[in-house]
Amino acid sequence: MSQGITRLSSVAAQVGLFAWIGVPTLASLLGLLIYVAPIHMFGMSIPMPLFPLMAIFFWAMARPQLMPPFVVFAIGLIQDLITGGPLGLWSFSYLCAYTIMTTQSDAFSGRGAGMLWAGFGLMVSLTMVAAALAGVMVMGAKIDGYHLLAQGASTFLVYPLAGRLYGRLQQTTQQARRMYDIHHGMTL
Amino acid sequence: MARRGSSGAMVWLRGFWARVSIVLFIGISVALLLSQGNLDDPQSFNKIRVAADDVAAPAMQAVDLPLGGLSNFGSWLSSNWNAAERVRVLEAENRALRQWESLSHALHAKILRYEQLLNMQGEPEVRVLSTRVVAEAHGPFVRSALLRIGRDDGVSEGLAVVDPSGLIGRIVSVGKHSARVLLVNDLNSRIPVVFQGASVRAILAGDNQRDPKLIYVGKGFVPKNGDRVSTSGDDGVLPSGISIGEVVEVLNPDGSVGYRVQTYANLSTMDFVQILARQPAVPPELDPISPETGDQSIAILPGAADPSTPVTGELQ
Repeated sequence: MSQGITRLSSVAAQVGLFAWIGVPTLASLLGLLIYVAPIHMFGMSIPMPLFPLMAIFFWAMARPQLMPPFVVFAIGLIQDLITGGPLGLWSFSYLCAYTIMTTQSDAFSGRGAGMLWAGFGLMVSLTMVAAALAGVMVMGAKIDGYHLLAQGASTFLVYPLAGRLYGRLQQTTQQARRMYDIHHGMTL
Repeated sequence: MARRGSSGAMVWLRGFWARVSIVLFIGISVALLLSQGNLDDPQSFNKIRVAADDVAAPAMQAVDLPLGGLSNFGSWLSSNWNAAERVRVLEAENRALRQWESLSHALHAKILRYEQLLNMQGEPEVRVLSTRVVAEAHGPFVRSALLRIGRDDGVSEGLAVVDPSGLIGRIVSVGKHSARVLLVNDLNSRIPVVFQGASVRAILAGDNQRDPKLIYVGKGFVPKNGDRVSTSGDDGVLPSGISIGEVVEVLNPDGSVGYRVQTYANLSTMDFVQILARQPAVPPELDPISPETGDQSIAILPGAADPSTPVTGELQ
């Protein structure tokens, strides 16, 4: 009986470790799939929020070690591939915003939800400016500025909800990590 | 002491690697962007893109199942909103369409008879493949859609994609089980068109705005609001006569008058689409006549004993 529980706990712990490492990346990729999904409400296309950006911001502020630059680069590159856009555009934009935000993380993280949302507003603005610059660099001045603004606004407005969801995910994976550490006789 | 020193070195090394990797990956992104120039070469990174589409298409279909329910609920709600008024409008529209239906049947029969009399050749059959859009890109930089249908289903580059209202775009890349559609309003889309009833040609060019613009309009022709535009088939790839939309006059930022086409198809809410698979016209230099079969392509018109004999006739 006790052997069975130990084995089960071992499996759970292994899964927990995987989740701990992979959850931020998987959450970003899932956000990316929702971003490109053909969702129409009331016969209209909604300017889809940049869900991957929300995940990048959340983990860059909460646990930067789980959202290293190469993951940000990979998410941006996959977004470019899936949308069929110029390669490097979103990876460049995300990385630029990520770099500035991680250096300023003390100003936003741990200072309440409002401050964190303001920080995300700054992240969205930086990303959009970088994307517009990269877009102009590649395609001349032929970008849909109105769409860019609408997308930025929808991303900013949806963040509190997405942030809460990511927070729950983070808590769950942290518990899984604790289980793993206890199982292997380690401390956090 | 030594342990504390090694831990400090590790922290420093981690920080150093983080800074280096940021610079490295930003550099790679910029290099990728610059290497594409202004996307004149549609084949740039094509193999990687096609492979990514092949992986993304099934994943998108899985995600689309629950999200499709959300979309359907929205459609259901909007279709039931003000239902009585909508029924009244649809009934009136239906009455008008019945008249058009009988007229189109009569015209279709007449055209078939004329084509038979003229022994009309050169209109290859069009095979229709229906599928669903699994991903859309309506971002500020690109207007495209991903389909879960590919080379294994007989799809190839250049084929026209339509919905029941009109042209949506054309296939630009094809994977084993996926295909990407470049919408008519994408920056890289150029489609030869004709004004219906005027036989004047133009090019429909996308610029990432909602409505694509008309460029190189035939000399001396001034389009009017409401002029209908369809594909001309001059590119030898898209079939001729696919409805696209109606002309709307717009004021350009420099004060001049420009012309855009309001598409019949709603490019922002695509669902089920059809691919028109047609054999493109092969140039004669690439399609030599084999000595055994001889020239089979010359049509012998009715009433003519010899193909070289001129035929005169009167249409009934």
